[in-house]
Amino acid sequence: MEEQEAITRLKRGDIGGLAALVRKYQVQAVQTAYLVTRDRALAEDIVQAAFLRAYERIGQFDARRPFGPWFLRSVVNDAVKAAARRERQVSLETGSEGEETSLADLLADPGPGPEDLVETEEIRQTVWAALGKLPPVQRAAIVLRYYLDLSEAEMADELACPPGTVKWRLHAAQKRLRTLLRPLWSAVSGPGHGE
Amino acid sequence: MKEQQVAQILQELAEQEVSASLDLWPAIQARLQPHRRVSQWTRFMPATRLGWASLGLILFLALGAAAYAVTPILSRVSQMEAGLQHIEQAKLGQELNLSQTVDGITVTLQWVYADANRLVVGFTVNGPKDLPDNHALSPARVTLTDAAGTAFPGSVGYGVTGQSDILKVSLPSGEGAYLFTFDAAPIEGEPAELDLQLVMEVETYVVPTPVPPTPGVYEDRGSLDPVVPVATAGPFTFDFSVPFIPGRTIEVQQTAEAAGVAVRLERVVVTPSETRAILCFVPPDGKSEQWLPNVTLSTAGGQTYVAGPVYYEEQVFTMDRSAITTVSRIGEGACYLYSVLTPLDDQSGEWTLMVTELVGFDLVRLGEQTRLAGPWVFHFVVE
Repeated sequence: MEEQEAITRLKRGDIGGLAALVRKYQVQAVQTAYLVTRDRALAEDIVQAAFLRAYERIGQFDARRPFGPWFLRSVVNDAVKAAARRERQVSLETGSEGEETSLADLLADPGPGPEDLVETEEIRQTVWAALGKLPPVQRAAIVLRYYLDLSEAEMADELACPPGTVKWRLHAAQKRLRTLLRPLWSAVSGPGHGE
Repeated sequence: MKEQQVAQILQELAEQEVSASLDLWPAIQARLQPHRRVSQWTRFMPATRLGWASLGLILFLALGAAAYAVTPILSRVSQMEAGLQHIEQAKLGQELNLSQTVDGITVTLQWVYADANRLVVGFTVNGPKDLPDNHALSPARVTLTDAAGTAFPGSVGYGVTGQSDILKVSLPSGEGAYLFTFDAAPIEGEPAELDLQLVMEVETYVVPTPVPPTPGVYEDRGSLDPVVPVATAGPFTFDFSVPFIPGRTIEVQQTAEAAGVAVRLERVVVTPSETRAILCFVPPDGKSEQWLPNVTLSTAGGQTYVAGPVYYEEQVFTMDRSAITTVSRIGEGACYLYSVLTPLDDQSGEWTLMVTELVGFDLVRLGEQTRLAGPWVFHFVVE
């Protein structure tokens, strides 16, 4: 069933439309929520609740817009709230929004870096651990940017916040992630690694 | 690390934990049944604590002692909130069955209840038999006052008209059943009974046609056309007496300090319909209107109830009626009301109330929050 047809049916109260939307978006939604909450069971709960909420609010949804971004927005927001609730972090972040820094600048390492990175379980776990050290809202920025491949403008729309706020959150997240991953580069940049 | 590598690693981390064979549909389908979309029921709250909105679809509960004639619809409706369900099943309250007819519309005040936390009135509205199909009736400007003229602030309301999948009822056109609750805070002392007056009007309106949201506007800004009543009947005035249940008041009067902020738990009031705690604190910026506490209450029996700005939305969206909790600022001061709308009146022993966080909302930069981590812990005995 095409998405347009699924939404039309759902607006008429046909839960077959919801079933189609669930099957189309469930994996991506749970994976997204998992990357933010770091808890598989919690991620599934969040996505289930989001689908139920979408069912309740489908009457407000403009069928001319794609369903995915509208749906994933609520998933991401709920995941951030859930993660923050669990982690009880104090988000008293300050930072400047005026600095225009490209992603390449942030990710580039002044020293010899692993251009040909071998993807091993150890590397994945190191990245996973580093993500865990980010506040949920910054983690979500990383997930939206790199996992969902959204532009900053799309992220602003997804998070319903000003582009400047998105830029700053992403900047802060990238900066902190780079610091946390620096030991990884040092380890892989030893003899026989890197360039 | 290049962007593509970050993206690839995130993809692998996600796929490692959540496979493509995931199937949430059975679980969603199982949860869907009690959450069927209802177009003619809502739980609503007035825009202010001073009165009711002119339009509301609320649901009605009739309770009874042995002489009660509890209608099935009202019993079913009481299940939407644990506190109301409890007082219905415990057969508390007073059956009245007082009716008035004005301009062809009959309002019947069926049942009333009063305790130290809230007052409850249940009534039905029956319109003329020739009411057009696209017309509906709604109670409006509902006020409850005592013999001295003191008004009780409106709280939560429920109602049902037409067909409701959730409540499994189907009312004829022009009929509605309603339940209104009021804050009992103005009551002083422990009177044996209260002499009250309920006044309302009933508006007739044309059911609006849904308007699609404007393209480019966030989906939650889509709205119905404004509702304008085409007729107003009333006032309907009922004078009655109701027994008063004082419940248990624990004057805790404790202060705890964390993160440089002192929080004081003034008192806890436990009644059959609700448990309330009054908390007071002055936030770091002095702007009490922008702060709310996240609160957890644990009873001696091991139950835990949480409330706060990050919890309430979740409860509403998941429609969990078993333990609705709320937290809100009281008036214009620096005190807050934490409420548990589930019966705890059979609980005794040592309870613990913990403020886990104070959350400050930036009213200019919406979405920005300041969070102060506690905890502020209070132990007290409920006898």
